[in-house]
Amino acid sequence: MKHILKYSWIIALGAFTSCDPEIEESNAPSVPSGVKVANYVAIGNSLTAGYADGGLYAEAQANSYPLMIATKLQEVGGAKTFNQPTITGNGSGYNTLTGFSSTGSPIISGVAADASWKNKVSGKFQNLGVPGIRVAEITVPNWPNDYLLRMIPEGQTKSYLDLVKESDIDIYTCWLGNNDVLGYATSGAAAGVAGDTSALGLGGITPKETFIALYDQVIAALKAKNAKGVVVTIPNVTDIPYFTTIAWNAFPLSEAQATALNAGIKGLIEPNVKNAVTKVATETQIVPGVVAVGATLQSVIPPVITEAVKRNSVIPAVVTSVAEATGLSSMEAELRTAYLTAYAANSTSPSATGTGFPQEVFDAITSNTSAQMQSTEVQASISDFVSKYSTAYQANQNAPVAVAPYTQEQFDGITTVVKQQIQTDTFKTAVNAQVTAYLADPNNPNFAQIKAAVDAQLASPAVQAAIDAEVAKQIEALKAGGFYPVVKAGNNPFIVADSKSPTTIRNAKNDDLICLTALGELARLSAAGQAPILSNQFVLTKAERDPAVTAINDYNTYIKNLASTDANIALFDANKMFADIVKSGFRQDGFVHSAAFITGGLFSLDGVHPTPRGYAIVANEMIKAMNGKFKTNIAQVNIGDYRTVIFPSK
Amino acid sequence: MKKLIFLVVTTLLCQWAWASGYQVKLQGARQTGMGNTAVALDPDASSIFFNPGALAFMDSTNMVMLGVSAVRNANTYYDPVSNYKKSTDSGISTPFYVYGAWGPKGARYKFGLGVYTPYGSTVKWGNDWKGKALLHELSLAAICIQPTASFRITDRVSIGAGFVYATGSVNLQRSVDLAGGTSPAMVELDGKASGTGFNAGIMVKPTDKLNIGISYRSKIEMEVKQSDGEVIFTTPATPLTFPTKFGAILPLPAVTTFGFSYKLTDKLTLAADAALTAWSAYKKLAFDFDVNSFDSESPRNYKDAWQFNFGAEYKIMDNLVGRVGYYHDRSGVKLGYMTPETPDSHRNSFTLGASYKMNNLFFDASFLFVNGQKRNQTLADVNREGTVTAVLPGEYKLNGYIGTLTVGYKF
Repeated sequence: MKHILKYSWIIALGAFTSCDPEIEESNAPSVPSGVKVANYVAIGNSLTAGYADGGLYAEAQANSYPLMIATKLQEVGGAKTFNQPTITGNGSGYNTLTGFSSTGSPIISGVAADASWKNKVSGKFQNLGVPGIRVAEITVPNWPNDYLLRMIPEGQTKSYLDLVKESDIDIYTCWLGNNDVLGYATSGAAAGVAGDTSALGLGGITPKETFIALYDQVIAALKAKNAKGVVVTIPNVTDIPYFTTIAWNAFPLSEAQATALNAGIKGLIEPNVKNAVTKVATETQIVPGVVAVGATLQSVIPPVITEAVKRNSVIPAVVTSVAEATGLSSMEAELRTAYLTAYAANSTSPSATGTGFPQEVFDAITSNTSAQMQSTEVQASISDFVSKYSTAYQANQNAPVAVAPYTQEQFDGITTVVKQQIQTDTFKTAVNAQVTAYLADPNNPNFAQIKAAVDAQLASPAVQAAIDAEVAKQIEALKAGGFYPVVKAGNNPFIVADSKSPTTIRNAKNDDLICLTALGELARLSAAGQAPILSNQFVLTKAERDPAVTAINDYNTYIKNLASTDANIALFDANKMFADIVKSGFRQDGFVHSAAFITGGLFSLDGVHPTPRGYAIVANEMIKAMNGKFKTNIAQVNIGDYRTVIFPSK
Repeated sequence: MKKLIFLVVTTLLCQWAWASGYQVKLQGARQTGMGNTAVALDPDASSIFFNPGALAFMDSTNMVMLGVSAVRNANTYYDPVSNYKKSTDSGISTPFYVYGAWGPKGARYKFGLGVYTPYGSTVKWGNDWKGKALLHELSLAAICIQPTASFRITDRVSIGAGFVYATGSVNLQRSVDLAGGTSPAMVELDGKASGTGFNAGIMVKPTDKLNIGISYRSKIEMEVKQSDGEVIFTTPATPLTFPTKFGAILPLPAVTTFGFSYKLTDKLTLAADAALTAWSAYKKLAFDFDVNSFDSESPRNYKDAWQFNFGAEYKIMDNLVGRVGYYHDRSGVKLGYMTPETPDSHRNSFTLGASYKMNNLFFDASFLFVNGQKRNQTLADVNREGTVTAVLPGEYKLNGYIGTLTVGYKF
């Protein structure tokens, strides 16, 4: 009844046209006394500047998270103006989505920069976001970054840290450090390597100690102002669509493209393999056919050499030792040696060998043998032998075997020892060494002939078959190792350049991250009529990635520690938030988002920086961090007021 | 690269409902004036709706009634997190009813035909509010046509039943989360639905002063056939093929009402009803599109809800009657399921009414003020029920101002 009375006047009036149900604003924004929010300053890089779609342009800057936060701070006493280093129109240029391919892939085109975007902007700025800035460079005066230089008055010299120090700050957000890894990572670890400081802004991963020392300077400057603020962790850069959009094996090809590419790869790889195998075969005689040639040569040429060896060293020594053992005089042993030498030379004439052996070689050997036989030494020996033999023969009439004063048994004993000797491995090795040296010696008068013979042998069908078999085996191994990509119609692993690959290219692997820019690169290569092979800067391998992840973990440990040890520093763990979004998306107010490129709605067309919707979520997280730590009650923004990726008009 | 393409839009459709908020208790100015007590009131032609069993007890031989209401109801939403407040602009809707009852003089039976609107509503949040991804506006209307027969078994017991054919329409508009293009991206569903059911009742008069009534209105499954459901997407260029047709089945739940009325004096009658709406039949809402990838289903999991009605009627003069009433309407929507279509809550409603007679002609008028209780659907509620994509956490409150006028003629 009380209600009836309470509302009776409404009923009486028949009030029909107003009187929406009233809900008290139970959570009106406020800040506790002692928390000053008059001067808010945002410290950071491109993320803080509002950079999106690969550039900083007017609309993107108007959707920066610092501006969103400043607007909400105004409800609780924040300054009514929040100066950003205004950029107009297309600013530094940016990407737009202009259409879709027949397969539904987005077509992204660039909008050119405004000529005037680098012009100086005057004033004191509360948004100190400088795209590209790394902690490593915040103390470098007039660091040559166009975004920083336009904020420094003409004729003055300042570092980024100077800008921070000059600001009036009651409350701040500080999101530095992303670029200390990002530049390295987004270039596929091509732009600089760890510790490389040769190129400002392109350097590799900032060493942890450098990072901490310089970041500490920022915090010290803020402490000196008695400011409260939020520090922000660095999201794992490898979670961003820049690296996650294109799967390692999402290289699409039509039937015709696959056929053409396979032919191209074959033309690139197989001649080289064949050349390599042939070269190896020629040089090291590993090809069976060539080995056979060598073996044949060795079995044929040794007698020639053997003759020389026997004559020069081995046999005389043997004979000498036998002679000494049997008490014969050296004179007689020498006679026997000379005899045997001639005997061997005559009995091992190479006429019996040469099955399948090139005539030229045979001729060469014969010629060599003849040359040997014509040599002064041999002729001298023979003459010597002949004279001695003749003497003995004439004396005994029993030539040629039984030479006085030896008995037949003695003679036979010596013959047996010599025959055994020339069968030993030592002897064969010695002979082979000489054969090899002979064959390889360009000064050998027969070198050219022998080489020609080897070449002819290489060209023979048998040897070529052997080489082809070896080539096939090598190619099989290359394919198995992913070093010889073979593509098919449909999705394939990307083909990437790799200096460690025997073919200089390889298939992408499932732990390779393909950069978003690879799409444009493939289009460029296609337009230029070049093979669709991604060079190093379009691929971030696990080995390249690990140091980046380690660095981010190190930086974040330090940043979290700042907040946990200081009542004036709140933490926004952006790394955790992004990881959560990657894992399970983001849903609010009926909006459904993921970390996916374009469709996810949170990342702009560069795959690195958020859309205005993404920045709105960041702003809310920063506000939550402030509310949590400083007991403020700052209202969040409605994310639906901020757009996602802009689609082309119909 | 197909993977890049846009699955996101499918989840943007479609959850809406005909919930307690859309159960329109405006089928008779007399009943509404008495706190919508109805089932055991002395019958008139509107008993065709309220209790077909009572119709055969009607004093007059024949009666026609024509009534119309002017409804202005509104919802207010408040989000503490963003300190955001928004009220609907729901305009004025005008549900109506027509009844005709006839039977031979002194016969034990009566026939009747009723045309009435038991469900329907318009909710307009606009296209630029926090919940735009969930709903811009929703219009629902269902018109029931009910031929009825009632039979007086004895002088104290009468029964009746009618077949119900319902025809209705639905129009729903919401944002599609795609930026770009020449106008904000949105989708509109516009469909026609129909279904059938029945309405039955019994009235007992144990004494001359006491009426007891029970009525049962069955569930009606309103089906939007795919051929009758238009889908209009307004979006920027995308590689998607959007659906152009939808189908759905929307339950109008069964209502069982128990009530009595008692003539305390010659001038004063008191009445009370208790009605149970079987919202638990409403477990989910599924949409079937001509592009199957857009098909969607979302849980509703409503629970049965009671309504308790109290009313009094006082004969001021022979031809003038005054009425007053109150009823409490329990919501069938659980926390975590309060969508912008049905930001429902328990309601306290206060009524006034009057009737004036001029020979065979009579006029009934009523005024109803519906005051919903503020309801706070927290993020915890939403996360518990897993409905984060369908609802908006925050505080909700609704109210309504409704005037109704009936013109009747008995003969």
